[in-house]
Amino acid sequence: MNGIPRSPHFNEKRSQAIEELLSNVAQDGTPENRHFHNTKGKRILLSGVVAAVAVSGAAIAMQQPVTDKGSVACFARAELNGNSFPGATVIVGVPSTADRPDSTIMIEDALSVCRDVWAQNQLDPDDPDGGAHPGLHDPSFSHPVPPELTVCVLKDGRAAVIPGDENVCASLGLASKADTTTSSR
Amino acid sequence: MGMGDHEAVPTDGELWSRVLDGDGSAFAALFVLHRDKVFGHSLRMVRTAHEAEDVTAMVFLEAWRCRSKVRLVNDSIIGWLLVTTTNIARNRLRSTLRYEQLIRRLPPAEAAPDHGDAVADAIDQDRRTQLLHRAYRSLGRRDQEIIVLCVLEEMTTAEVSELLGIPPGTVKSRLSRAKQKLAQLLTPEASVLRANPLTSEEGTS
Repeated sequence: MNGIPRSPHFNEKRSQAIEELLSNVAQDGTPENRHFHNTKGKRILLSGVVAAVAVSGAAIAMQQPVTDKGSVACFARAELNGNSFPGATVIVGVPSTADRPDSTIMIEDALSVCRDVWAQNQLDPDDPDGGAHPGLHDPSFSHPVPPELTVCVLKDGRAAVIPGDENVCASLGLASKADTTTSSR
Repeated sequence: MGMGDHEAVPTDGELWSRVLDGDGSAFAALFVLHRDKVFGHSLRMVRTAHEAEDVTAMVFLEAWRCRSKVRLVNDSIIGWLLVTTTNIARNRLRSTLRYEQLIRRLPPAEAAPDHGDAVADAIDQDRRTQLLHRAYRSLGRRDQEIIVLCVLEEMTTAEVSELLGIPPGTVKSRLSRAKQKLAQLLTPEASVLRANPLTSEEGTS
């Protein structure tokens, strides 16, 4: 069972292309390397539907970039009480630890992540903490998503996806996300 | 610099550690080092050389994706690569979807005869090898895994035990069972069985 009859050889051109591909994959910042930050099938980990820490500030009616993409704050309603909000903090992948330093996937599309959380019925605007009862979890992703969600930026640089129109960020004293303030159906 | 007259060939462990530090050339070197073994094993699992090349590429992409879980045994990565080859080949659709964007940039297949043609050409020369490959493809994942490691790669029981995280006794019993199944599949009556493990023939009504 050692051989293949007249074993074909690895196509040399393809082999060289794969070498180049792998070389790029391992190098930080290349498009091939970034591919691994955006793969589908990513696992969403809710760190708990609890009042999460958010650093609020004075009313800021301006735009800022998201600088911390390690997690996203999905608000169940437009409310910010000091450092906490009703909703969930979402991490994609597994939280990085000392022996698994690279396991958290950077979130490039905060809006999609929070839409998925809504679609699974994990947020409830009527709940004090913003969390839906676990028994109501919808694995088919068909629970209605609020018609308008806007991406704001918390003072610590993380994205916050909040139900409401483009004015919702300013109303909570937060900046809008720079370049694409996205409201969606 | 080195004191010797010739440069030492880096071990898998050294290369892998450089890969983890973002050294692309080390990853390419690791690929060159193990390409043929992974490709050879892929050929046992799929029907064309082109598919086997894609599987080979995906095995290394998977190594990067799962880099925190890659296991080196006695400073060798080949066991992990072969186990992953089995998984990728058996779940090709899922892996292809995952890596489609990267794989489609590779040069397309050339008009050279594929593995299937090669097999057809050699049909009279090496019927037994073909039968073996067909029987191998009919095995379950665990049986394929244990055969490739213990028989084809000739890893020791202790090495396979460490690689798969199972006790040595389990390695031995799995190997014995897998060999038995393979032998059964190689009997003349069994040779008419379908080779492809992915197409369940159950539930015919």
